[in-house]
Amino acid sequence: MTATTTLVTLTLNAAAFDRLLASNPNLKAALEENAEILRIAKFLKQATPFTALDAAPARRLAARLQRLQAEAGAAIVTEGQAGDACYLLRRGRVEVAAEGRTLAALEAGAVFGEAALLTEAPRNATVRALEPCELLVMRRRDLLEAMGSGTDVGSRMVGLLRLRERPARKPGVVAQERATADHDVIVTLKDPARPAYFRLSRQGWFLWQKLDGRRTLRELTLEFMAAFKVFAPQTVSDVLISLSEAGFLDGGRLRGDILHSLSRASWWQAALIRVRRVMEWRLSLHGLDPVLTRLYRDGVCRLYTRTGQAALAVIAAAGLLVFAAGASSARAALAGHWSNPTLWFILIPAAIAGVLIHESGHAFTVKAFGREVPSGGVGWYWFGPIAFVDTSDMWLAGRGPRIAVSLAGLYAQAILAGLAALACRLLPPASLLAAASWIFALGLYATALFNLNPLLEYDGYYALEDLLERPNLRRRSVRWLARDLPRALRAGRLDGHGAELAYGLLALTYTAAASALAGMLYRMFALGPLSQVLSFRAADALGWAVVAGVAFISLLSLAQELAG
Amino acid sequence: MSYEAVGKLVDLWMSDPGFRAQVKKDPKAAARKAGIELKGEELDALNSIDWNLPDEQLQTRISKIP
Repeated sequence: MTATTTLVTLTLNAAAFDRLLASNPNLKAALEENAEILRIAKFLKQATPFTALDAAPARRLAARLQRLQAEAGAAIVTEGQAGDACYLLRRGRVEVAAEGRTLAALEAGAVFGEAALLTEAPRNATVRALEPCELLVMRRRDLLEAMGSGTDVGSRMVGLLRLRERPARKPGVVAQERATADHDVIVTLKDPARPAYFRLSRQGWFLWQKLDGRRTLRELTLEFMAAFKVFAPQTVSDVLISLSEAGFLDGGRLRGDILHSLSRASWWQAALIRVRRVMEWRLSLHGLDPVLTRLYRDGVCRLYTRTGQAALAVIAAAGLLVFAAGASSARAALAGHWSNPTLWFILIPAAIAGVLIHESGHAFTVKAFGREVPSGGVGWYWFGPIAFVDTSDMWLAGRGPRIAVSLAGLYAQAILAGLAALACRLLPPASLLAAASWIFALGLYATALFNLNPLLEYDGYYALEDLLERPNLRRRSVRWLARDLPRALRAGRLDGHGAELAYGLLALTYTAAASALAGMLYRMFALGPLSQVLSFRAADALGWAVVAGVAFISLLSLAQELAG
Repeated sequence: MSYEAVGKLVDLWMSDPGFRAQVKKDPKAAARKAGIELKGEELDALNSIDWNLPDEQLQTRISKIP
């Protein structure tokens, strides 16, 4: 040891120290206890889940752990019993057995019993000492405290659990097999209880069928290797973790307090979650499906016959032609009614009817393909109010039907707009109703075009992701851009991720364009009037605030996709 | 193929995060370093370990209109 500054040291020789301890038994006990805690802390930092613990939390945890001695042959944990502690084997050897079968022998440094600590499940194996053992007992409250120290002890413990458990399929999950446009076979799982959906590749489907609660990751990896000639424990583990996180595996669900401790988000993640809750607020009406099924069977199904579809197509096409041809005369007629309040009394309920027709288009097309519509409702989506129906059940259908459902709302809107344009043509040219019909048709066509924009999560987006066979396209693209683009650029190849690159870049460009457009519209329509109320400088600053606000909200939406 | 040696490889992979990192980098060298002798199909199976399956939870489809 070299002194780096001037210092004063005190010396106590061994004999004097021994005399001091002999005359102060309490001091001796305290020092021995402290030395033991330091030894345990050092041991902890060598055990896999705790290696990342800093010195101070490791000492705190070491001080809390209870020490346990077990004689050879003693059962430390018993299969089927409840438990709220896990064990660190400090000295000795133990044997792990389940259902009468020996699974493993563990040596000093091993951790066991973590499943009962992290989940509600009873002990899944019996652990018996093979020789005199010394153990450290960690209770749930000790683990929660270690998890609160900001290190990844919790996630490492969960990782250990996931590697050791015997995953089982959740009962009641429905599987639907289909071929993709690339002739790959994929299987979509549906959990009707929630409902939730999961897409499996051919390899994932192979694993899913093996998840009977009897195989560990080891056995699954070996069977996977036998089937696909590849050593892929990470791939197998990733699939199991994804299925578990999505709630498709039975048992092994983490306890609420553990989950809460694990999912403690950073301040910005928590802020993003709160912002998203507000910006994507929805009021859902459940139990719609029986009503829609009855309506479909009692009459709407006729619209889905060839004759019905031909008639609707004629209305949509004829209406569009009439609308385009009569645009100039309709605009002239409109000028006389623009300030008439009755016009708005007609248009507001008509607009509500338009929204209902649009959503009915989606919902009944889902029914035409024999799928369910669990809910619908109203809400707010980032920049404005929305109406919606949940068409997630179409994940079980093929690409064509999914695209048809995504575009059905727009088609229904086009038919309604066509009817309005035809009505405008038939009504007296300068009448209020003719003007209202034309504005109504214009509004329907305009919102249909807006809805086709695939960069916002409206109908055009779902149609595009189905067309490309890229589920979760937005999230996938943003993540690929942020995480994989540098690697792809270094390697000089995209490896089939051209769609993600294009969509991600377009989404970013759109964010900039939307901000610029907001600023432009503000300057065109709002800056002048506001300058008369506020000072020009304040009105101008407000304009920049609008641009910044639009950019911020758009980027926030992308950041949310990145954070998950 | 008995897979006995591969079983040892999986055991090591499950218990040692350091070994996992080595396997990701160079699976054959990691197996050699761990003293696990692989041959034939077992060795071939280490050629393409980094499979990235498209298996994922599907987001809710909310067909909406502004």
